[in-house]
Amino acid sequence: MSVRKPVHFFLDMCILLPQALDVSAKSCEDFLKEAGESCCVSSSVCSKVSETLDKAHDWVAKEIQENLYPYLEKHTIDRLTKRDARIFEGFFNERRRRLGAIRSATMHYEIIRRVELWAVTHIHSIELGKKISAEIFLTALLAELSKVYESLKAPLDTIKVKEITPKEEIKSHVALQGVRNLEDIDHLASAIQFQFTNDIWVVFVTFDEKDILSHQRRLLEICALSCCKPHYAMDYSRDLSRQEPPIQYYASITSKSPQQKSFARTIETLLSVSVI
Amino acid sequence: MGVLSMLPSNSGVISGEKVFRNDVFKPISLDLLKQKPDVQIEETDIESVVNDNIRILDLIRLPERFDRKAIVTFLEDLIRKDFENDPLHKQAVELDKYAKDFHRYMQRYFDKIFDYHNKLKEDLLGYVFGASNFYLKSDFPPSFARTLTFSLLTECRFIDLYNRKIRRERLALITNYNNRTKFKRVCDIHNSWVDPLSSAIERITEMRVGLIWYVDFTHSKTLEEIFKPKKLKKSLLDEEYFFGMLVNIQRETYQFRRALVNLSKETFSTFPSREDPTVNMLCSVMETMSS
Repeated sequence: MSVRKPVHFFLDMCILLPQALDVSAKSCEDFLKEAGESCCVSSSVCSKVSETLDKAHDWVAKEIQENLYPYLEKHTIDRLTKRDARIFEGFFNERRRRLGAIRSATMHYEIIRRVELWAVTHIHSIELGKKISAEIFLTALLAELSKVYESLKAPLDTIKVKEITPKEEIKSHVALQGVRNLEDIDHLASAIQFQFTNDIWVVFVTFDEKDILSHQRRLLEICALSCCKPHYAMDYSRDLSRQEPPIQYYASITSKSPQQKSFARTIETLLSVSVI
Repeated sequence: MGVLSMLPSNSGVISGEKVFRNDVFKPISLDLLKQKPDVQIEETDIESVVNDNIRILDLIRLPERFDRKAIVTFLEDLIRKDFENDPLHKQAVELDKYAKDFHRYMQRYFDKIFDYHNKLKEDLLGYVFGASNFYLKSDFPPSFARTLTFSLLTECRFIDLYNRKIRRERLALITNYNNRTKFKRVCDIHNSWVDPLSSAIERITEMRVGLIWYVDFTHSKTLEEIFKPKKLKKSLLDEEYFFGMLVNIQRETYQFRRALVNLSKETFSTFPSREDPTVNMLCSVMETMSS
């Protein structure tokens, strides 16, 4: 009797980013508490999250450097008092408005929210009648931005990263199931490749309804990859752990559809495993 | 403030580690242990033993012919002679002396390390502020500030982790102070995790200082201008070289953080506030990963 290997959870980028809704955050938290040790990310997801975070930091830093600082200089506001909080309200509202043009700006919003809160709290904490240098205040704001960036980056350091370069042929099969976003194709293909290379069941955990979960059924049927939201992940894990390992499972499908046959041939050729 | 004075040359946590490392490598050669402790018999020791014996005598009925004062004097002489001829007592006093000194010196020594590290962290946060100020007043890309501040804050993480680890090691050192084999083992374990990290952080510090030097030198026409404040302009830099330096620091910092996580994931789970649901979620990610 073969030993059943534990199910691995591959996390999508959205799981590692701040959640817009409390419900989603709770769902992530509960799942991660339960399955933390079995969670990992593919190198493609890791680099994408890192890149997103870098971009968000750089965008906010640049806005402070190129817009807020010159604005204060232009209006000769070289000192700030307790009553100047609304300068920041105007600045950050305008940044939010501009973020509408940026795709996947969750991280931008999160960073703005935190540094804005810091700015307002500290402006309000200035003693009545006292003034502080605007330059010093903006410098401290940038320093706070660095701390926020570092703290958001920390979870990435702790998660196991699987170095995977997904094969083009596997990516094609993912695309054939309807996934259009190139980055998502990379993440899903990495999970599939890991699953069949190691003969371990993988559950791809995501919130992405539009690009991934809408193709959930086809990804499972053709590529044998389970995708779900975090709150269902443990149910998937339980069911998969009762099944035969992926290679044996795929080989046991008696009447394969043409698409399944094509996928099986790809896996056989690329990974030298027998699934037909 | 000149650019050079913004970042540390090469002081920092490294020297703190070396002090610690050198000392723990030669624990037995610590001055306090080399010196022969004063093993003069203490009057208080004798008095204490006499009192104990008198207390026993008070409990029993003694013949009247014995004078209590004479008994005390007699016992004092007896106990003094006994102590002087008893090698075990000498040894016990000696050990007690060692133990008292060891605890006292170790405590003071570690307190100094923690105090030093707190000041070092304050300095590093000051450099974060300095780097942010240079960025604010320049037209440099945000990656300049991001790279510098991220590596500085990573160094702060290292200090946190270092403190946490040596708190445990201190306990092990004190517990095993009279067992040379175990004591040495604690030292060896300490050195095995400190050495690779300290050389890595030293490399990052050097690269960071190198970047600042490069920026300062390219913005100065004469040596006298090097330490003077100046407006930093991107156009004066060789962009390819400049970004190459940034990438190198980023790569080293990334690898260093990975090494820190392997050493202790819990250090990465300290977040400012868990009131915020998002922060709480991220904390949970880290806690889960480190459990």
